[in-house]
Amino acid sequence: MNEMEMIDISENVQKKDKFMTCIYLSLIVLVVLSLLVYFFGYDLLKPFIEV
Amino acid sequence: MKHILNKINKEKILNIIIVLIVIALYISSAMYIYTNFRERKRQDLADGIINKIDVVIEQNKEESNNSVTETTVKYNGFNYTVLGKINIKKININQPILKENTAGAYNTALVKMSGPNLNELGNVSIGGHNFMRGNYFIKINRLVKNDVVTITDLSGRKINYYVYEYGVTNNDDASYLAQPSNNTEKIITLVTCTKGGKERYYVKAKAK
Repeated sequence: MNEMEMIDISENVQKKDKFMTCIYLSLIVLVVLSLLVYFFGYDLLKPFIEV
Repeated sequence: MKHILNKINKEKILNIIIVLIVIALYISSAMYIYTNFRERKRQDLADGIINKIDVVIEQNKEESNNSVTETTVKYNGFNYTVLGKINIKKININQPILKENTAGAYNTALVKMSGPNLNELGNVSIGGHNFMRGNYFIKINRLVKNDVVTITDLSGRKINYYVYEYGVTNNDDASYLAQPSNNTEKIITLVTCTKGGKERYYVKAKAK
């Protein structure tokens, strides 16, 4: 009678959670990586930078 | 059912947008760091050239050699023909002035565009990039009347020039390069691009 009740969306919710975790992780990696490169990467990358 | 499918589709689109935003953040961070490093390297290069010409200036002072107008400096595997240096304390500019009027020279430092030798009578034009980011030579747009521009030539003469005129002009108008009619004044004209190269911003300063 009620079709809505027949659908299990728990898998979708899990997928969504996993996806958002990946996004948050990639943002944390971006911030950490950027800070490391910005403050300590200049001497390392200097030979490859063209003015 | 349809409603749920629609919701799933909407979520998919939202997810794609989120991923794209994260990718854009990575790219813009990398670009920001690269341009910052490029700026740092350029300043290192300029500092290195200035250190070398300071030695030349000291030698010329000791020998009382007033006729030296240019010198070749080898730095980082490149030869630069240097005419002197410019210092503008207000906007933190301390750069060598190069003779070569080439793209490579403009990428490295400031370039003499036209005019007599540095610190001589007449109008000397000095050009520099703004590198589209508004934080390089376009900083000259912060100069106002009576701000000081110091030019040091290779014989060690250090002359202060005081800003008396500034403005924007079309890129096909080169009147700011013109020599003064009386030719009894020492004038420095600083020039850079603005609006993506469509216009020129210039600042004129003269010695008192």
